[in-house]
Order: sequence, then structure tokens, then C-alpha cells
Amino acid sequence: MMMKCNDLETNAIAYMDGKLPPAQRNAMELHLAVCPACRERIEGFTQVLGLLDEWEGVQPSSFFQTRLTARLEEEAVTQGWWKNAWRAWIPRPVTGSLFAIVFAVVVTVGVVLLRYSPTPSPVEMSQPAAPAVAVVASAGDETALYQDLPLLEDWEVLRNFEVLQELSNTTPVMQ
Amino acid sequence: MLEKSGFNRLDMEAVVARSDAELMLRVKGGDERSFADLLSKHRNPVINYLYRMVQNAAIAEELAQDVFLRVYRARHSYEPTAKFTTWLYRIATHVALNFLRDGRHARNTAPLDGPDGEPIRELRVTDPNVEDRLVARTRTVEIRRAILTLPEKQRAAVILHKYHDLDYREIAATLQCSESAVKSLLFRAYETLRGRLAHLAGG
Ligand SMILES: [Zn+2]
Repeated sequence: MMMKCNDLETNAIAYMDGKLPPAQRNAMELHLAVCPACRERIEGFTQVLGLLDEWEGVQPSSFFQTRLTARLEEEAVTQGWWKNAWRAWIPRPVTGSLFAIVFAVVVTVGVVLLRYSPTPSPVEMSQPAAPAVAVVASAGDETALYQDLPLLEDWEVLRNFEVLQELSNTTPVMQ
Repeated sequence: MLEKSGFNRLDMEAVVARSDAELMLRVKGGDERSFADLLSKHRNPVINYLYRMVQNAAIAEELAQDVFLRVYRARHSYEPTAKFTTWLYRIATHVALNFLRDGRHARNTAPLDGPDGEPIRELRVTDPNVEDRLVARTRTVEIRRAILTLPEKQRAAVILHKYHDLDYREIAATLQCSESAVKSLLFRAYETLRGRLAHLAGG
């Protein structure tokens, strides 16, 4: 197997990580033996990997766990309270249709907001190389939501849906 | 010998991955203590991933809280189809990019100069090694700046590859691209870093 300078892009990192299969590894080494330019790049990459070791990580502050535990407990309590309150106040057969109505309103408002909200402006970083990140809202998802309406007759499902919605609405497109 | 240890390592990874998924399934079933187990295991890696993405320790902690709250809220819909860590890092990547995008960091912080967890006390003049440490700190600042100026996807790929030992498949799943795209991202990132940090190497 022959290797050319152009093959470096797909093989260099795996070569340095020791993850190239033996045949490709041999081909790489044969090429490096005769190509000073590629050799210099590989040596440079190795130096960079060494330099990155100098940047150490951080330890979480002592407040992290306390605050997170408090927020999780608060969340559990609030959710439990809401669930129990709804279940106690509204007769069971009514909850399904009521939530379907609430859900329809939420979706409609959401769709309107999605349609008419302005495109967020790209990030302005202190450095010039920062790329713009765009938000994508899929029209296919909206249709799917309307179709699933009758199925969503439970508070749990509705709440999960909001979490997923939050995540999927903000799917960032990088680069 | 080499193959044997390689096999064992993969074996171990499979066990670890399965236990994460098992823990999350228990959380789904209402077991709060399993969430505490997941937290204690993944807290530091997630905080450090976010720290290296946004380069501010206090903000990284805030974002990490957000990540774990999202994981907790999503517990009912969790399905162990993907590796847990991949799912976790994907959420963390979302959170980091949302933060970087919405401009809060530009108003509130200067990432490299803010309260970023750097041990200030190391700079005491009475310290006999103060010069060495100042030099070391200057080098670190240059390394951080070089990483910060990478495009976000390249930055995430480098951090996951270098500091979190994720393989190409896992990085690809986290960043939602192909494995060959990951290799190419890493190649371009290290090529840029090589240029920017050449003066620090071999000195
Ligand atoms: Zn070459």
C-alpha cells in the first residue's frame, strides 16, 4: 500500500493515537521516512499534544453538589406537588381532554413563536475566528406533533415532551 | 500480549457503559440514589469539558448544573440506545454551544481573565519559584487562547479527544457527524494549534 501526502489528513491522528491497522501504519512509516514535510507535521502534532497536557482541569467548588442537590430536590417536590394537585382537583376522565387542549394551545403558540422569532445573531467572540451558529427548527417535527396530539393525554408525557422540545429546538449547527 | 490487554480494556468499557445505562434506567424507575451515583462519577468530567469549552470555571459549573438537571428531567424518556456518556456529552455540547451563542459570556466575562479557577495564590512574590510559575502560567494562557480561537466544533473535538479519551466513534456520536469528519476536524484543529503554538514547543 502506498501513502501520499494527501492521505495524511485521514490517517495522522489515528497514527499518533496508535490506532492505525498494521498495514496502514507501515505505509505511513514508509511515507514519513521519505517525506520531510509530513514528518514535520507529525512531529508538530506530537508536540501540540504534549503542550495540551500543561492545561490542567478544575475541581468542582464545594457549593456545586449542595446547589445541584437543592435544585434537584426542589424540582422533585414541585413536580410531585403539581401532579398531585392536578390529580386531586380534576376528575380523572377530564384530565386527558383538558391536557389535549392545553397542549394544542402550547403547540400553536410555540409554532407561531418559532415562525416569527428573528434569527439569532452570530456569536461575537473576542477572537476573529469564532464561527456563527444557527438554530434549526424542523417543519417536519411540527406536523408530527399535531399528528401525535390525541396520544398525549398524560402530564408525564407532556412534561417529557417539553424537555425534548427544548433540546431539539436548539439543535445548533456547528461550523 | 498487546491484543489481550486491548481486549480487556474494551471488555471493561463495555461493563462500565452498561452500568451507566443500568443506573439511568433505575433513575427512570424512580431510584434517586442511582442518579447520585451517576453524578459523582460524571460530575468532574462534565464540568471540565464545559470549562475547557467556555474557559471559565464558575460558568462551567453553572452550565454543568443545567446539564444534570436536563438529564434528570429527561429520565422518563431515556432509552439505552446510545452509550450513556455519548448522550451526556451531547447534552453538554448543546448547553455549551447555546451559552456561547447567546452572548451572555461576552457581557459578563472575559474568559481568560475572569474568576476562572486559576490558583492566584501561586503568584505570591515570596514564592521562590514565582518566575517559573509565571512562565508556566503564561504558557498555559497561550495554550488556552489557542484552543479558544478554534471553531467550536473543532474545539469540542480536540477537548473530547485530548482530555476525555473518547474514540472517533464516540466523538462522532457526540458531535453528530461521521467518523471521517471527526478525523478531519481533529487534523485541521491540530494543524492550527501547531502553527499557533510552535514557539512554545521544543523550548
Ligand atoms: Zn508527505
